[in-house]
Amino acid sequence: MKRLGRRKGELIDREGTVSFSWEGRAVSGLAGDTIASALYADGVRVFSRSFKYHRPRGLLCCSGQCPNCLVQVDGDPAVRACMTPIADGMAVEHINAWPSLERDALHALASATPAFGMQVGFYYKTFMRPRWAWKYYEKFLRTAAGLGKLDPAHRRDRRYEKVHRHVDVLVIGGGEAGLEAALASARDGRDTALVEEGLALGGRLAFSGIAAATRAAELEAAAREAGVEILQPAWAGGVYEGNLVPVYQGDTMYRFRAGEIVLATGTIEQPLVFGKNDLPGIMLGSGVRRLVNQYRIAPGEEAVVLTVDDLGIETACDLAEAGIHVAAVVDTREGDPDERLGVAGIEHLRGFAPVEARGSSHVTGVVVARGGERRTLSADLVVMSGGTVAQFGTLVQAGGSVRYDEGRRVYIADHVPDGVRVAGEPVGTAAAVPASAETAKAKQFVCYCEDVTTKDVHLSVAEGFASLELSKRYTTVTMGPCQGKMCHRNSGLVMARELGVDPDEQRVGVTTARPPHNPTSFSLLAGRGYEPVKRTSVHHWHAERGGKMLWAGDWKRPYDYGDPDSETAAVHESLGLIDVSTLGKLIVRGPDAAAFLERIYPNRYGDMKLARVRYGIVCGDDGSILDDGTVARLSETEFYVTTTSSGAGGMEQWFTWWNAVWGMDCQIVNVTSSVAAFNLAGPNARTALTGLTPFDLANEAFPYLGAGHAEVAGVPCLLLRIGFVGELGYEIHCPAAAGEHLWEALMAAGEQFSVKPFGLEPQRVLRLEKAHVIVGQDTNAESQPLEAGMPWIVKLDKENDWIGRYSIEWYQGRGNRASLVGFEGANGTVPKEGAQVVVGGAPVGRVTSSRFSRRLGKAIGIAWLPSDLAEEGTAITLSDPSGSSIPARVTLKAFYDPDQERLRS
Amino acid sequence: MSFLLECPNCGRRPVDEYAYGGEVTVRPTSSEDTRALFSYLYFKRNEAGHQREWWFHSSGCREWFQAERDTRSNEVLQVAPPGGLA
Amino acid sequence: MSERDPYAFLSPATAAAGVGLRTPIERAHLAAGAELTELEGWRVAAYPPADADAWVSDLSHLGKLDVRGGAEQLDALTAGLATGAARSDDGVWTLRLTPTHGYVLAPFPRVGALRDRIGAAAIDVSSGLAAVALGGARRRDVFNRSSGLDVREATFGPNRCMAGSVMRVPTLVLNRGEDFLMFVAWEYGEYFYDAILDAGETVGIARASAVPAAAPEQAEEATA
Repeated sequence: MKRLGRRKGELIDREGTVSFSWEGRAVSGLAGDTIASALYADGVRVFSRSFKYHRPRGLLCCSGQCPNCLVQVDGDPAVRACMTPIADGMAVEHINAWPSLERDALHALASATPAFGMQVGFYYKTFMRPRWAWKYYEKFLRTAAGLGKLDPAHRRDRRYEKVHRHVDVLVIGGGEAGLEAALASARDGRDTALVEEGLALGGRLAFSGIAAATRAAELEAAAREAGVEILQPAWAGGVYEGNLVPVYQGDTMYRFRAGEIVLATGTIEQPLVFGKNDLPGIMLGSGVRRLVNQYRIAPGEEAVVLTVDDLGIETACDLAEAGIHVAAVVDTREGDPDERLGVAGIEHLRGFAPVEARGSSHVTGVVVARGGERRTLSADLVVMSGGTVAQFGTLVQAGGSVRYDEGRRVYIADHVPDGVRVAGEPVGTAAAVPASAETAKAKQFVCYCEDVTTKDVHLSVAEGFASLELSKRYTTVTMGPCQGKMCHRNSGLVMARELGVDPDEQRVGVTTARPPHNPTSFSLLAGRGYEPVKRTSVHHWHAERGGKMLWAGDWKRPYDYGDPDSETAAVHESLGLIDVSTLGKLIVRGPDAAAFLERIYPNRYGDMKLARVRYGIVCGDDGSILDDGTVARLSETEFYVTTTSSGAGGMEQWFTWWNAVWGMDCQIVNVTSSVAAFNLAGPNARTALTGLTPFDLANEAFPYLGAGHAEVAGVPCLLLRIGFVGELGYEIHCPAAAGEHLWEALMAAGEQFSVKPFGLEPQRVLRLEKAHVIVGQDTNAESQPLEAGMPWIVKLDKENDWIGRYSIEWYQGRGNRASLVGFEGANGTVPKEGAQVVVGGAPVGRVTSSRFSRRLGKAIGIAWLPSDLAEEGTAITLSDPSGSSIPARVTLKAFYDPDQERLRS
Repeated sequence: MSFLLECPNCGRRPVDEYAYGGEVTVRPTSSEDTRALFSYLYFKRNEAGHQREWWFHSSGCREWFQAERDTRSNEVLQVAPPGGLA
Repeated sequence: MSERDPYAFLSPATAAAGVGLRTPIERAHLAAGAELTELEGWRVAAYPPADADAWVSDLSHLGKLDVRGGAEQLDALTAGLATGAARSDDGVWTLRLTPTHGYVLAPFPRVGALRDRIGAAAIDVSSGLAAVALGGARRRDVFNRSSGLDVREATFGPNRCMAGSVMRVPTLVLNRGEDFLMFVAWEYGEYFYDAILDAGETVGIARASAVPAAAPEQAEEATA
């Protein structure tokens, strides 16, 4: 198609051509064209098929507000053709039609089968029976509906960015009001950014005549000159708490935090409701003016303009100026013909309203009426100017509200929250109430996204959905991609008519436009993926030597090094080394440090001698076990506390919280990151370590539960003589920067003893052999120490108050109901963790840990069961999830080395 | 939830930098009044309105503070170091 | 226990000469083809010089002291620094994070003496905080792809410090004028370095050596 002559404000570059494809066919457009304008110029009239009925749909708004030109571009679904510039090589395809846009079999099916019954609520009604058929219905529906097809493998390597931005002022909307607000704020010395989703700044100015286009260009130049940062084309997805506004531009999501948000979102022109008002060739006036004035396309040869306000008259004048014959302007308002139309020689039919369009795949005319008087006008372009509505979606999202202004018969901003400003006067214009349903036999569309007709609204009212918010749930009106931009006002008007109320009475209410404002890809929301991972100083040593590195909380830890059984055996028989750097480590220091620990822990620390270490559990005030670990006394006023690996952050919070509550004179410093820790364990641990340190490791000099400073392999260390793996062991703490050096030195020193590094799984077995409870594995939020088999750790006779004391006193008075005990399987079968303890066929307890111990040659585990069963040797039955019954016996002592001879050797 | 909360040390930050520490409560001083103990442990006021609460700036200075917040609007009325609310 | 320093095991400063302290980012440097050189007892990465709009460097070998005490004590120790402010003096940076908590950064060999001078308030966290410097003309652009913290010149100029979330982990950020020096938990070091590199990919971020960027004289010149 030949373009119209040059005009100020046009967006096309007549010198540049761009080649792309539509449905596999080569098309060429001009530089500056959108997909929609290039295709329209090429003669394409059908851009999509509708959601439910698969009716042909053409361009409507040309400004990204309606669903009609959603296409698939290079594999990206739901792309708005009218907002996307063409690019060389772009492959554009239709969505939601089969086998093709022109011949959609589903349209034939939907129109030829009255019983198809896709009226409102059809998915609750039509497809309910027979029930067995749902899987076939579903398959069909999934093919028939939807807004494109996403290939899971599509562009997985494409980079999506997320960029955080802070500005003093963020202006949403680059129309006249937005540009003016941005200009004023930038001249005021404030950091200002402006977001405009269209391809031209100036909003309505950009397509409304030469003088307006000049004014838009001047405003834009002044704003840039003043330092306004203009993001365009880009769009604000919504307004969130704390003035957070996601702005999408290309493959980037900007997360703007703005001191002030200026909403300059303007108004949107509305369609009119009449029969077959969705036919291709029926367009909004603003859309037509964009095509004519910005892309210099003549959208038709013979036009009829349907209007409720002066915008329709302006559109008709623009069309006439472009040389398009305007048969008539059909105006719902009564009065004398407009002078401007008279000058242009256009008939002005006043007091007429549209009844029904003519045509099947494209409009050929329109029937209009004034009372009983009907006229049929032929046209290949029918323009709708149904009045405008203000876009208040973002205002409501920001916490503001709108109210109905009876005088002006429109919604206006009511409450505007702090930090938000509304620019311009986005009040819209009053609308004409659509004619009643009887006047047209054909479908009258209220909502283009979801194919909701006046009949559907009628039905929903008849079925009792008496407000728009309720009707929205039922009819899905305003729930489509446009989020009400094209249907909110008309559905409200139709609803009011059906309810028999004056729309001014506002009984139908308003719906809330949900973010995102426009179709958004999940990739943009997700951005690049980041998953923080904690690595110990020996992480790579493990990985390089076959350590199976698995997630353990926030850490990656070696599960084993390929042979967990031999790792377990090495610890029992000679020597093993495990990386326990993940343990939480806190320094508690100050004059009140000992008193603080006395109040945090159920057991005693004030009486601890220097150079000693003591096990402890931490309880919540409800008596539940929160964490466990050890406390070493470094000096009179300084303690070194270890926590579980996953409990480090939580215990730091817990300790510092109570310190804040109590205001004691002590400090808590989390040194988890600074310190690497290894457990060297096995009968040869002492001999191996002796060669690396001048420290006296003899049992008499450094007994079980001792703590001491030592230089090991040139590294300053804290040695703790503790171990949870049943053999002689040393927990060696050192600066993380020297961690790998020390680890390598320990491995070298252990070489003569065939030392093996051991992972988490061997450690689980070794710990279980000692019946050590693992907090979070064997305990849960209800477990308290009296029932968890640790009454010895609770010092109810302590003189001071401590956290959990009152609850545990209460539990003490009540007596135990459940007990955490060990069990040995009678036949070598290992019950799964989670297996039930069964008495008389009823579940009474559960297995929390279970493993096969090669050292002991039997299945062992820990289980909760009723306290009356918690006696040494009680025979119990475990019911595995697989269904098998496993006989077992209760044990109350450690399975291995119960008298701690090896541990203390 | 994307509201901004002011840490007395670090200034205004998005709420996801913080850990919520619950309502400011008063701990009983004995186990004698079981009703008082259990209500302290298990019953939250869950105020629809101005609520005094604990916050921990876990991504920042890692210190505790208190805030008074309108739970209906997430408007933060005041913040202060522990015990310092007006 | 003994009259020895109770926190010796936290401090790499007392490690023997042959130990060869390692930053948590060492493997990432080796994988990128960097050479390791010795610097003040540490094994640090050397990269060929690159001309880029943004660069990142592992400065985890810096000496770092965590200083806590009463507000008056911190006032005295920091010579009255305001919260959120930092000062560079003779190669030593002093940072005031809160009224009761600050940091001192110094060339590693000076950590011992500084700790002695400050006294019990200081704990050596040289081995607890990985340090990553982000510099170059487009450093703010890279930073904004990593964090929602406000680092506009007007709100976070040179000699400012703050703690907040960067790349989803708690981070201490210092504006040294010529770069942002960021500190994260040692165990996050490698993740953080990789994440910053990824954030800077579109800007063409380059890896820089530890040595030149670390030279305190240079940092001072830039802030002077």
